[in-house]
Amino acid sequence: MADTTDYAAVVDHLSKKMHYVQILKDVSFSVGKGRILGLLGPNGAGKTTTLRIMVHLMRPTSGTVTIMGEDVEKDFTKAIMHVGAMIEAPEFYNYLTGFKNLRMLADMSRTAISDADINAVIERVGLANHGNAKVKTYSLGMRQRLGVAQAILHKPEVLLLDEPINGLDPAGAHDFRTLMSDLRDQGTSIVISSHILSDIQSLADDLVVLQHGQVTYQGTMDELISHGTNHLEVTTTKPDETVVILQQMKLQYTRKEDTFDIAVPEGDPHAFQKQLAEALFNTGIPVTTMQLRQASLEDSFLALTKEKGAKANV
Amino acid sequence: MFNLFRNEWRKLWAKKSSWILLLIAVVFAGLTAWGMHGLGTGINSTVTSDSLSGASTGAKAFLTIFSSGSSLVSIFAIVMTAIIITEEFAKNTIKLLLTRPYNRHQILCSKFLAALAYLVVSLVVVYLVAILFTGAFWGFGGLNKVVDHGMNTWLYGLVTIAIYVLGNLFYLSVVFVLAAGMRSQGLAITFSILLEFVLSIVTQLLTVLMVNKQWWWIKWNPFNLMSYNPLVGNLKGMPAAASLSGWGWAIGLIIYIAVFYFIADYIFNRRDVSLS
Repeated sequence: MADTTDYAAVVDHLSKKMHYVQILKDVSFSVGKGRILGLLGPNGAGKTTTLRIMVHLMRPTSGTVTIMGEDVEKDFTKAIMHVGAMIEAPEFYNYLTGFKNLRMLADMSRTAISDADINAVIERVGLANHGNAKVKTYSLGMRQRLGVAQAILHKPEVLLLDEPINGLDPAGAHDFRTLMSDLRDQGTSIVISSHILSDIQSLADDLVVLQHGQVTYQGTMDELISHGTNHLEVTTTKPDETVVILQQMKLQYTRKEDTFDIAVPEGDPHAFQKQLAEALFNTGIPVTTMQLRQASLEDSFLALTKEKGAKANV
Repeated sequence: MFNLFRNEWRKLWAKKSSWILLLIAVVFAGLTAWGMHGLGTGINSTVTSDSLSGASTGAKAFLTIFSSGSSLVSIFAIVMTAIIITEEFAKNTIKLLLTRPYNRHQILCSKFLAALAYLVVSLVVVYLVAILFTGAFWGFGGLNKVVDHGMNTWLYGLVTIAIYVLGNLFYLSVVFVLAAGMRSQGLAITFSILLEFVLSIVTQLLTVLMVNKQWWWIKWNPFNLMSYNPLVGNLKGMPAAASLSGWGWAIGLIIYIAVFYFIADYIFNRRDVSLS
């Protein structure tokens, strides 16, 4: 493991067992300074538990978490000073206004936060007209915005956000993405856990995929996408003859009338496309359309989780 | 630390329930005064001890009114104390507190101080209400006369508040243990209130055991300490070995409060904030 001060956050060999169930197993990853890390995984993979341990809401069975070089377990107050967090659904004191909730949390910060600062944050998350309304009148999306507001209130160096886009309308999701990009540009390191893959795709620089409490992938977005299978969609006028060619080439495909969805084998997809076109042409099969469909993050994620899930079930 | 306490204090009074419970105690004290005055009964059969037989009617009325209001305050303080902790877990707002740069000892301590402050403020309000009703119905003159131990009613009432606070702090520390370990608000409140009722039964049983077996050390059990009032003294006929002194009572209770508080602190510190 590299020097923990090189990273904004380092999760090192984290394990958590609860009621004889292994929730996390030897989870390790690091968050680069000024980068956005997407924490992906199916439901029950251990994403929220990881975030909870990162802010010391839970204790790990073993392993450590370091934030800006400070050990969360050994020196919690120093470590947590650097962190803004929204874990699970944002909950507030319903009987207080949004502003008063933030005022109270600001008073718990180690840095001086004025009323003007709070109003600026309220405005930044798009709650300018609702700051003085009691939280019990807020919609889910408004609570989510207030959750983000309380997390960024003290200008933390590390942001940990659990499913932050849940409940946001498209405009809210757009605002959120803009805010996160701005914060990253200002040097904030951000961890976003989400099952909305497209949101992660447009935001994250790095990815960690958790499955069954284990890290099954860690790397950049591009690397994960390359893990997915590309597909070639081919339409011919002689589908029965086409089947023969595909079988000869030992390709995996699905057929819908005269259209074939062919899984592109590993290697250069464009070279494969050329090779197949030549094979069909040489046997006199006219091709109506041929379109290469590159793997999306969703394809890659599903391929990865299916593959790892199959291994885990063996 | 002051900021934490101030936040707890704000939250406490931002809840309607805090005001409603205090209002009920005040109304109950007022009804007691009105009933005593209107019906002309109750004053001579008050909770006051034999040593207060010479006290003025006004003083006795004050102590009766104060006693009726403060008995409700004891129960309400227990309820509010249970709420102060369990509501944070039940509504998941605890994560807002525990992800700030304060350790869990400080968070719990601020809650304990807020519960203590609520108890003290409630008792002081009931004290003032009792003074007002006494003055309105029986005049303020009697309050200046010596009641017992060389104290006039004003001072006697304040010392009574201090005694109630120490006694009730023991309850609150036990409630803290229950609340720190429970997620259910209702369960914590039910257990806490039940505790107060169980207390009188256990005290009687232990007193019988102490006298019959001559196990005088039993006098140091927390229930016995709770039922002791240093202004009233020991029960008549109680052997010296079974008697308590004011200092012994205070030190004993403080030790018990500390023990229960540290148990609550241990539980609160070890507790995982589990999934909602």
